[in-house]
Amino acid sequence: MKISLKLNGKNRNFDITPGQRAKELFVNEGIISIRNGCNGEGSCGACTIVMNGRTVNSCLLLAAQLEGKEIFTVENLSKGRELSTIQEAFLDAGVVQCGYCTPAMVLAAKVLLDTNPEPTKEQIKDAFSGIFCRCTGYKQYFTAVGLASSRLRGKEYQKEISPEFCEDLRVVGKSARKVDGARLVKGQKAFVEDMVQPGTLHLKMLRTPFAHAYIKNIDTSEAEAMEGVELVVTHNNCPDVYYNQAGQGFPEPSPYDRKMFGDKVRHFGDRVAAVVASSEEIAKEALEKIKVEYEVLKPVLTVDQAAEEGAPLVHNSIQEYVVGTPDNLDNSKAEPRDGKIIYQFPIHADPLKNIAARVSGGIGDTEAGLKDADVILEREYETSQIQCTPLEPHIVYTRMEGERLIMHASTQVPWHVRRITARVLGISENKIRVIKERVGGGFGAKQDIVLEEVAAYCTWVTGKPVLFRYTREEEFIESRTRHPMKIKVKLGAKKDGKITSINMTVRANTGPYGSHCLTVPMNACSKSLPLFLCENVHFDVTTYYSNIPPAGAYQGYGAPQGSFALQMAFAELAKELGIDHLELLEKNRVHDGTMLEILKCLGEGREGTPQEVSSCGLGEAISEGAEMISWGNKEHDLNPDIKIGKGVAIIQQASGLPGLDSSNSTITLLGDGTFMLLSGGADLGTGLDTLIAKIAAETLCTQFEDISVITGDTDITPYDDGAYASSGTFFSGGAALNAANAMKERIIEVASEMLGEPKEDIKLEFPSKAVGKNKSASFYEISRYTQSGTGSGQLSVTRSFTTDKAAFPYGAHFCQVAVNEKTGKVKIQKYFALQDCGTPINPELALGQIYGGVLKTIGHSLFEEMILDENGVCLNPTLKDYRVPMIGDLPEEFEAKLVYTNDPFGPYGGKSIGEISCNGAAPAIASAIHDAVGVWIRSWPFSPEKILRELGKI
Amino acid sequence: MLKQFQKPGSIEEAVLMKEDKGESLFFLAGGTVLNSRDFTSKPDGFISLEGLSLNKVLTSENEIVIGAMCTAQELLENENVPFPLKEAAKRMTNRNIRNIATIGGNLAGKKSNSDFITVLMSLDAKVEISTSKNWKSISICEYLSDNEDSLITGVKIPINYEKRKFNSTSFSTNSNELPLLTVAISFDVDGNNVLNPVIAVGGVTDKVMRLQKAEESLNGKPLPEKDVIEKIVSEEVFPTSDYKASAEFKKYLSGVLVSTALYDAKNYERE
Repeated sequence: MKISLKLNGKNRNFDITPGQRAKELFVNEGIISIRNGCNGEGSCGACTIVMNGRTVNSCLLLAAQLEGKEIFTVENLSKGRELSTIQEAFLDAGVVQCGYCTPAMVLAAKVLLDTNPEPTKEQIKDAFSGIFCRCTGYKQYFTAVGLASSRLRGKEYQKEISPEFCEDLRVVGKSARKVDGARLVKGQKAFVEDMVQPGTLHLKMLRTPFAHAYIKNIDTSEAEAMEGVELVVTHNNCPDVYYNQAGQGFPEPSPYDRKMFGDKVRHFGDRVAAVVASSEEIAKEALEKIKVEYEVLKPVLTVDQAAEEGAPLVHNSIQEYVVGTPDNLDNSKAEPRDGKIIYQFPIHADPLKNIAARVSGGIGDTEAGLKDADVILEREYETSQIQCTPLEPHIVYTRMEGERLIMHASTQVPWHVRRITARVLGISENKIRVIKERVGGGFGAKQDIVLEEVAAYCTWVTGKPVLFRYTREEEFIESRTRHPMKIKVKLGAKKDGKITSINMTVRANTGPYGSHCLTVPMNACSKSLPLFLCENVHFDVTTYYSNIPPAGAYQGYGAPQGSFALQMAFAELAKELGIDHLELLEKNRVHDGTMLEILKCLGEGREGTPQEVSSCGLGEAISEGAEMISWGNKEHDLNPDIKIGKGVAIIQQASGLPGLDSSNSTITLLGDGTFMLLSGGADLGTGLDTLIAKIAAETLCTQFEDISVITGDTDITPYDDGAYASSGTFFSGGAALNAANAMKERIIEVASEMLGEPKEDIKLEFPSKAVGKNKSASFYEISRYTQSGTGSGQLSVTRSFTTDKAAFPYGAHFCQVAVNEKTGKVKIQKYFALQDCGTPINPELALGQIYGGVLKTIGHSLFEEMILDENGVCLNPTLKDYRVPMIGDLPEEFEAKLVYTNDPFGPYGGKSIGEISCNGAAPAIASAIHDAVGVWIRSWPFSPEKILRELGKI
Repeated sequence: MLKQFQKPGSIEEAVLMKEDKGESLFFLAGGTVLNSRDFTSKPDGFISLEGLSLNKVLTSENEIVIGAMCTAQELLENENVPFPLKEAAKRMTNRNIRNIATIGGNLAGKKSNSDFITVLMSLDAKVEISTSKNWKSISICEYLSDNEDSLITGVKIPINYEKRKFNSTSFSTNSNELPLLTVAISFDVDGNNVLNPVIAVGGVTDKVMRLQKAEESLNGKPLPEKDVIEKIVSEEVFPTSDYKASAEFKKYLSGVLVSTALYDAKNYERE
């Protein structure tokens, strides 16, 4: 059938089929800014277009419905290379993080401002109400719209766009448009899906309907015989290689407990067979033709079930150790169909008890501490399974280039992708190139190699390009989630509040495979215990295998769970002691210069090192936050059913993993005096590329615009562990600083030769020159000199950053909630997040990280939860049913504040900000709920039903 | 796979197409449900209602007629639309959906938790339906019981709704979630007495229901204490548990929402 419409200002005619989707028509027209985050459920808004002046989800439209319509997409917003006012405002306000939702948000802002040049806060909320953004926490969209509104009306924006720091520095601590911002705000080619070439094969996965079963028989013959099917992979023909999908530094603490496909399936949706075919439809049809016979086993879903005597074993596997084989290792009862587990080193696992990993340790004598206590409090807290929900699902596009495998990946860990893929395929790393494209949200889920190796194998076998993209349901059932945990805390304290003993017992649920099974649960202790000064501290961590969807890394990496438990226990202790909660925290918290002895027991699979707190902004964060929220003043609502309460939590994280992480950067002076900066760092939307450009520009006394950045390409850029453990600023930034300093030295050396002056007399000066006592040379002149054939040759330096020093970020979060005693509903009236991230190198982007982290965890605290039935089937594997926070869920008053400290070890004093802000919401909200209505809610989420039950209403 | 996309120019043409092809063709309004990937039925084709001029709001001395193809956002923006309906439109999950979802489509879905349906029920609205043989105007309750797959052309709201007390609410856990429960009430007032109350509750059974026992027990008297109303209501609803909430919670909450709605309406002074 034929339709006519006006597309981006031009009258167009199309020949379509009746069932053709609108999005397909647009993609065929080269309009790629329309994204897909919910597989056509209509719940994410990433596919927003403007139809007849109104924003609509194009995934809910057929092409036939476009007849006679006027359609506008973001491609039509900017003219040539120039950005529109709205796009510029988005960049200036720092709302562009991963950028996957950005075109939709830009369109919503355009329609709003077209119809309402000076919108109110409520109108802005309404305009963005249908678009899901997991990164930013939405708050800065109000600034972006306000800024655009002012500029469009020719007025000056009256409010602060972003704070600035470090008066003595030019670019560090100041706002600057993200280096990758323009392409994202224009909706240009940036993500893996944009790189896919015609003729690419499609990979679809057959998944088990059982959470725990052996595959007795599988018949793929009918599928293989289908026209268009290129390859079917099962446990019968996949590589016989064990590995772990966790993207961690080698040798990993995560056990190698899986093959690409196993004889046994261990969670609902586990892999059974991969089909590669010429189209998605054929691949799906072929999946239906595969016949599988299962021997169904009883699933284990909770840590309690897993720990029961005689519980079904998730891994009754043959155990092997690369080093440190235990003397009592006994494989005599192993079931061959369960395969193997290979440990790189002991993690105190006991698969015959479903124990994936264990660790314990402490300082002092906690029993003595309890004897010394006037009050002893023991509580257990529980956290639920939370999905990372990056808006862009997992995706990889693999292809051959000559004899080499090229992987276009949406990953936080390009080098781990290469290493693990090489291991699985049995080829050397030099045969593989991983190109990290822009990542449409990661949050830890893309720290694991959850689909890349399968597509890579299929390309390696067929020699053909392969696309593998998760559906939203696959994202829920086979991506990565926050480990559910049960955490017991036992505290001893004197009457005056001085803590005498802390005991933490963590039982974590890793699910079917041991991805991060030691380190995430351990982090529940290592990012919460060091906040407090106590001589007697002990922790026990046990992680269990089960048949729930896989757990793994998620922003915060165990710290949100640990923080919830320990901070809540302190809140409960304060009540027990009759001491103000804040006073109790103040009495026991760390300060600048505190030696954190507990860290010697909290190494990641090896001995740790005690660390001194090199900078700590907690005091300022607490005092400012208390003032902002009027701590101590009881608030009342006119409605007698509404009770208001206030809560607080203090939090910490780390900046990467000292002694484990390493980053590298290369800086090259180009012919005209500008620079190319290559870094292994993997910017997943956080602004890391911008941060390293700023560090280099600051150090080299050059324009920010004169530094171009390439990152995360294993062929081009040097090694980096990747974007996890809040390592970006400290490690990747540290490597950029080291490289820039080395380049500075080289420039001075060459200038000395050129100018005939001693090196000691030469310094760099802005803009881009080396100045001696008598003469100076521009970088252009220096570059020409070095490249003239007579000089030293092009200046190019590579430097690493490794360290045994730590830089801990700190924070204090305050909130005020209104609890309706009749309905149990909690409304967050105020939320203030005060964060010490050292020098905020990208202040506006740092704020965005905070808002995003807080809102994610407000979601975890109040309504997000993966719900499984008794068979381990996830009942809510969609964004709509899982309930992700939207702009309408923002606290009424929401402020993030950067508390400046200058860390001696971080680049320009910078510390991390990526994860810490996930640690405060749950305990702050839960203690506020108690302050409001007098009940302690000790498990996530704090649902209305749970609150009503605690209140005795139902 | 969808094989047809028909776009008739008149109501008559549309109903004839439907009767000709029976269940294989579906009427398509905005498409937020039928075009969603989680819509499981697989019709052969759609009959688009876009060309039927059903997107008007007409007012007369006795009634307001709202065309089935009016979107939720259009209802919000139209000054002639009764405020209770605007409230229901405003509560619809988000702007992108409101821009395309229609009142007719919402009615056709007959969803148990439909805010529009509870509100229309409390307003004593009629659904206008066309077949090739006749045209009829039936109450919301009749419509919900009617299994015919007829064409909804609009809804008719008596103008006297303005004389009655009215209130509506819904309960969701977060802002983008379809409501767990919806409630709409209306009543006349004689002195301190509640007369002719209508209590519509959604989300407690497979379709929106009127609580007739509760209506009877409240009729002709001053409103009893809130806890009494809560008990009356919760005794009349029998929800089932699902992954979102237990039956016990829904039962309790129905009572709370209704009693709060009644009390707030009683105290409510409309501008």
